[in-house]
Amino acid sequence: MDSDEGTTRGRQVKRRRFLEATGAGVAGVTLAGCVSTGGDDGGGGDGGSTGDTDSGGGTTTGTASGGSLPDTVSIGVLAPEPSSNPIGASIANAAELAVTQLNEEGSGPEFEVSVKDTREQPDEGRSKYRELTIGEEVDMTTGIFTSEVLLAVLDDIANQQTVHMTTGAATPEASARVRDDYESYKYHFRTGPLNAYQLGVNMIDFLEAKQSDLGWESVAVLVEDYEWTKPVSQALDDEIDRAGVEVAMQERYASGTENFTPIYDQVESSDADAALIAMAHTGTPAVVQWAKQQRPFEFGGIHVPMQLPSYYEATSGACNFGVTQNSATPQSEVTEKTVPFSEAYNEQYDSYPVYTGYITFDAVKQYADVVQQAGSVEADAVVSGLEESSFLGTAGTIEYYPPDNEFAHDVVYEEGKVDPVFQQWQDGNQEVIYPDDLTTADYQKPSWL
Amino acid sequence: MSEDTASGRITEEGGRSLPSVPGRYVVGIVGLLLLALLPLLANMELGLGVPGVFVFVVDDLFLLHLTTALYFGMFAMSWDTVSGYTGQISFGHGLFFAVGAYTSALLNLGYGIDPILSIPAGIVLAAVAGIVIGVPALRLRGPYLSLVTLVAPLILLQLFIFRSDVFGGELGLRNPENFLGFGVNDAAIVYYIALGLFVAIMALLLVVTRSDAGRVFTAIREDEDAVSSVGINPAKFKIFAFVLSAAIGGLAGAMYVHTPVGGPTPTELMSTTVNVEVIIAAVLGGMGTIVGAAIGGIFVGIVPQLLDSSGWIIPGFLPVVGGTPVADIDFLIFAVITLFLLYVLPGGILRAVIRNGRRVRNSRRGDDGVATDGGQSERVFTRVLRGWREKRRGDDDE
Repeated sequence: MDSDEGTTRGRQVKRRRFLEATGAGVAGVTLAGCVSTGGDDGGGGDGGSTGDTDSGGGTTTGTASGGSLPDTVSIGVLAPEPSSNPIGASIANAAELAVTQLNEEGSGPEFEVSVKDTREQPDEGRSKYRELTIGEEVDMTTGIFTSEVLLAVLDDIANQQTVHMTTGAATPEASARVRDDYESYKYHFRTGPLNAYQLGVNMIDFLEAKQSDLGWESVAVLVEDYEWTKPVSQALDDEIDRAGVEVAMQERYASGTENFTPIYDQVESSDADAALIAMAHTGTPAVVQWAKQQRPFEFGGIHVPMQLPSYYEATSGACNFGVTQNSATPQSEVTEKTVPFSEAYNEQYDSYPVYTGYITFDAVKQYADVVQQAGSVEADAVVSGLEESSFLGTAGTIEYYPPDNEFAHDVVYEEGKVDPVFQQWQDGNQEVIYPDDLTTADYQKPSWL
Repeated sequence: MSEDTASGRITEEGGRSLPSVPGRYVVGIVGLLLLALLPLLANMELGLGVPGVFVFVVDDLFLLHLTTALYFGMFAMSWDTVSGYTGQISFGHGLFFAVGAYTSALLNLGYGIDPILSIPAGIVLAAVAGIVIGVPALRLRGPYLSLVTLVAPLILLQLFIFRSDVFGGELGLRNPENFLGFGVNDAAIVYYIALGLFVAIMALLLVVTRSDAGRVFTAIREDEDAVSSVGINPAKFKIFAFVLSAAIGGLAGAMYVHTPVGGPTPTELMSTTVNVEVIIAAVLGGMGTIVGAAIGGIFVGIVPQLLDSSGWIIPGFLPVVGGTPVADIDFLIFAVITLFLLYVLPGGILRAVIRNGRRVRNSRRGDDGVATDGGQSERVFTRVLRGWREKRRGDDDE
């Protein structure tokens, strides 16, 4: 173990940064509160509308009385540390790229973007959201990666009556509020990813469909004990029976776990063929130790750091043979728009986007589409436009569950609509192994097995 | 630092014996009046007089930021009551803010109890928490006490995570009802409520700390054995300070979550960042003065915000950070400013202002040049400069 640590020390800084960049955010994928009061509409008096007059073209929100589009449509983007965090950078850059493309097409109004940093802090996110809506009076907001931030902002979204399209946070709490109090919260849509419960369902679907290729007869379920994994665990508990695999062991291991030796020893003695995982914060030490110790079981599920296109280099190949779910990979043709987007992004920003990039790009494009069809940026028109919209994006065909659905205004998870891919790292490439029509390679067992 | 603190205290005591209203009271009242008049300046641009430099507009957003800063000032005053006066340095005051805040929020969310009633319940439980921490603290001094205060909020956080079905874990709870129903659209009222509470807490703490109890607090800080030797039980006063401080912290925390600027989440109330920033605020403003902590709290609350919205870009010729927008590294800049201020103004902002104000007045009276210790008084910057020059000269001699 000592020598192990010695060899990996050089990477620890990187690892930390990854954890900060990736894990911390997805940790946000969670649930917390529900309903709230702040929803009094029609806020009397002149409060809340003291915008900067120099923000240009601010002739939009609130006053738009349907039927006519303003000259400029402004989009507010909330991203975690867009200058350093790949997840935040993908949100910010993808929104900018989408707007650049829309303006080049030139068919509709001029779009503009304003990016603010949430720092993954609820109070910071709330205050930035207000700067965008009250201060700059943007027509819609998008982004938000951390569930904690999304929950802190939900009441303000209801209050400001401005459409918000989430492109990162997965807490089912948001959709529960839309369903429970539609009139207040109808302005919230989740363009992606799947909500945390459906993430778990998606894992089962993958297991079920690929069982013969994977050859996993029994699995050890390893889930990090953070809020975001609770709905995932719930879904696994509810539905794992239909996957036709035996659960040899189940462990919600402690948050912040660094040493996986005892856990892996248990997995070995349970004779499981594979570890079925849900990891974000703790993903890097887990996969590095699995590979270094050449543990005799396979490794796959949801592993957020492994979704990063640069992860192979960052871990010196330790993630090889690891399987994770992802919205899309740079080379996968999820739709005809996927590869052109990832290439355009790479050309512009010299790196490939992570999943939040695809989703944010889709959100902005879908919004633009709906606004132009409705001929208005007025919130109610946009809400019903989005509810009816079926939009071909980079991550699939984007549609939303209706208001009375348990996942109201979440993106519809269905074959042929949004159906995340499962990728395996194979010699430095993110090869898609599921769904079948997108596969770029067959599943490979780790070389040491 | 302790020397300066002591001299600051002496000058302060001296000021009280003057028959006329001391200048610092006038300054303080003018400052509060300014805060009170701020909402009336709606949409006016304030700045340093140079166009485009540090200009900010007094709009609703600014009032909401300032509201946050006022609550932060209350947190800092609460810390100052126990740590600044009795010298029992607490590294985990967020515990009390969180107990007050979560109690009130849970009562409101779970049982629909109006904030008017749930907030007092928060205060009571926070005071109980003060006893829970304060009584064991009697047996401990120095680093041992600090460790207890450091660990206590961590325990509470683990408890919140363990029972996240009740406490919402790391994500916290949803926002409870607003106090009297005033939300984002009533920014000015929200601000005035905060300001009223701020003034009330400051007045209460000033009365307590300027009373005999306050003198005992200070005496405990300077020499606990001496306090015992004159027949006063320091334990009684230490617990009183802890409970008072906890109750005030609980009050501020409970009110904070019933405003549109705050929510019951661990990051906002009891994270290490909050615990440390509270200490920075009180020390920067002037430990053991209450008013200093209040000023420091507002400073810590609002300066990063102003830097963030300044839109400046750091000049490209500077190493490492050149070309970066100030907004990206606002906290770094803020920390450097804080360090610099602590260096040139040991004893805190308040003491430096009082000292300088006194010198200005003395110079008008004609007895310039003689400081209270009989030596020559000098400006802070001259002193720092002289220090550097002497250091350099010393090197040359070698």
